[in-house]
Amino acid sequence: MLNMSDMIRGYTDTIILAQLLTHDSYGYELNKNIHQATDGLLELKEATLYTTFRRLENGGYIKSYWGDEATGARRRYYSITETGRKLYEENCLDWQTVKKVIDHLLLGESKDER
Amino acid sequence: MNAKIESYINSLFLEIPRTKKAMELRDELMSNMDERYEDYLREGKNESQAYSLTVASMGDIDELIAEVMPDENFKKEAQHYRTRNARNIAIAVAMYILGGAVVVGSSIFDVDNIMIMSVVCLLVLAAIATAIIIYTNMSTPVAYKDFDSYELKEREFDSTPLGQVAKLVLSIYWSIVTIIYLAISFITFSWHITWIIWPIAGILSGIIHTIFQLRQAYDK
Repeated sequence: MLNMSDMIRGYTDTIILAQLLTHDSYGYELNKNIHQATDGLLELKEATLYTTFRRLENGGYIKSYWGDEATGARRRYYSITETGRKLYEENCLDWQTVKKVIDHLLLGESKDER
Repeated sequence: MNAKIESYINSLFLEIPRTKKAMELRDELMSNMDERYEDYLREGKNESQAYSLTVASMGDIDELIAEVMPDENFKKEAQHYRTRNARNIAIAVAMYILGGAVVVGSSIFDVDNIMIMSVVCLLVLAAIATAIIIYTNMSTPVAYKDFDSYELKEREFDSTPLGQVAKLVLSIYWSIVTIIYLAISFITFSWHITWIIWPIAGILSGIIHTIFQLRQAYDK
C-alpha cells in the first residue's frame, strides 16, 4: 500500500502552510481539509500535526491564538505570518525542481523531449 | 464534550507537570479530538468504533508530550521555588517553637501578667508563621508543585534497594527502642519521665531516614 506519510515527510510543513494561506484554521479542520482535498489518500497523524505546528510557530512562520467558543472546549487557531508566506513560496519553487528531477530520473521524460 | 475522550486525553497528561505548554496542548488536543469523535458519530459509526478510530488517529503521542516536558530553565526555576519554600517553612517552624519556648520560659519569672503577655507573644508569632506558610504555598505556581511531586515519584525512595534497607533498619531500630523503654522503665520505675524516650527516638528515626536518603542522592 502507498505509504503517504513517508512519501510526503519533507513537505508536511509546506502542506500546512498552504492550508493557512486563505484562512486561519485549527488542527482538526485543517486535517479534515487535507483529507478531503486528497480524496482520503492523505491524513496527518495528530502527533505529526502538532509537532509541525510547534516547529512552525517556533520558527515564526505561523502564529496561534485561542478562539472564543461559547460552548465546548477551546480551539487553538493558527494563522500564517509574512515569513511563513515567504517560506511557502520558496518551498513551492523547490518542489517544482524536485518534481522535474524525479520525473526525469524515474520516467526519463525530459530527455525524450529533447 | 465526550467524557471518554476527555478522560483518555487527561490520562495521557496525568504524569506530566502542569506547565502552561502542557495544558495548552491538552486543551488543543481535547477540542480537536472531540470534534473528530463527533464527526465519526455523524458518519454513522457507533460509539466504541468512533472512540477507537479517534484514539488510533493520534499516532505516537509520546513524542509530542516529550516536547512539553520541563526544560532546563523550568527545572532551575523549580529549584528556586524549592529552596525558597524550604527556607520559609524552616523560619515558620522556628517561630512556632520560639512561641512555645516563650510561654514555657516565662513561667520561671514571677512577674504580674507575664503569662498573658507570653501567650500574646505566642499568638503573634504563630500568626506570622502561619501567614508565611500560607503565602509560600499560594505563591508557588501549581506547575512547580506538580514538578516536585513528579520528581519525587520518579525516584520513589522506598522502592529502591537502599530504601528497603532503610525500612529494615528502622523496623529493627523501633524494636530496640521498645525494649530499651521497657527495660529502663521497669528497672528505674520512673515511668513519669521515661516517656521522653519516644520523642527522642522519633527524632532519631527521622535522622536515620534522612541519612539513607542523602546517601541515595550522593550515589546518583
